[in-house]
Amino acid sequence: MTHKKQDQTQTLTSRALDQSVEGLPSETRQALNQARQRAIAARQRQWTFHPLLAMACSLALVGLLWVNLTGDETATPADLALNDSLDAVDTFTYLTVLDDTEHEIVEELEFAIWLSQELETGGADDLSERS
Amino acid sequence: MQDIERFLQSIEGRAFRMAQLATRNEADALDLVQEAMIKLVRHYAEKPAAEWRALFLKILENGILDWHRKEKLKRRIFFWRQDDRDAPESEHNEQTPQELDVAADPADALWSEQMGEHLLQCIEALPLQQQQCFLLRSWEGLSVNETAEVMGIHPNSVKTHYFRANEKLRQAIAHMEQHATESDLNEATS
Repeated sequence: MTHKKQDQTQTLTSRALDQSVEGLPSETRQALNQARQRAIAARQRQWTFHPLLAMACSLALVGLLWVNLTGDETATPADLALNDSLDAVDTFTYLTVLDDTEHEIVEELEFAIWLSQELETGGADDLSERS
Repeated sequence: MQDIERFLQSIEGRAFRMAQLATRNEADALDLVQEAMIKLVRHYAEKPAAEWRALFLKILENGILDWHRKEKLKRRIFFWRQDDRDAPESEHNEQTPQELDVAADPADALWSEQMGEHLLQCIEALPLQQQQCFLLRSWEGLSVNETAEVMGIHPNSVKTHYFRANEKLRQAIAHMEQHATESDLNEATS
């Protein structure tokens, strides 16, 4: 009996609420539509940051490659440049608020720098082994 | 149209009604819904679509609670002001459903509409937690645990709030029906 009454209450209230939503005035519907558009636009604005980040990462990589290709044959300045690049990436990470995707990009950049550093030292070792 | 936009479109009317019942103010309700939409899109758009509803309701619920806290604080600071919003707010926890106006002429054609309006007034008159609990459980169809999660309260509190809200609304329906029967009898005797 109590359940029946509870069901009746739920049915009647749900119907009343549904009808009140269906009967929303057109101005309110329009305002809600605008609110939705604003929310979607806010997301698109957020995504516009990603090309900027990609550009910054590309510039950092170009800089890194340039230092590697045009640097002295001796390992020390190249190492220094790599260390500088890593410091620059660290500073960049520290100064900006990054989301998961952006963190992944920065981590990949750091890995690329580390890898080139490893290759440098590995290459030197190979040479010393040959001699 | 993107999935998230479609989802927002499907839920916006109900969300607005929930916010409006809680705030009794259309502009504030619209702000709350917009804020919830922006937060969902910004922070949770990458989540699986199945999770959007619960997340959106949680964001909206938090927004409504914040709004009430701010209003309370505002009323304390500007205690000498008596604006329109103060009156219904002060009555929020006091008014029983029976005290609300029941339409005098429950003609058959209007009966359902009047009942609907009366019930909406009753829901609006419920204390905030009872109201939100009832809307989430009964209208949105969330389970006790889901409602507790969305509202950030214990499941036992959800059961209590829901039971009380249900009781009040049941009484309101009974009162309305009784009123209608009395009116019918009066018409028949006169």
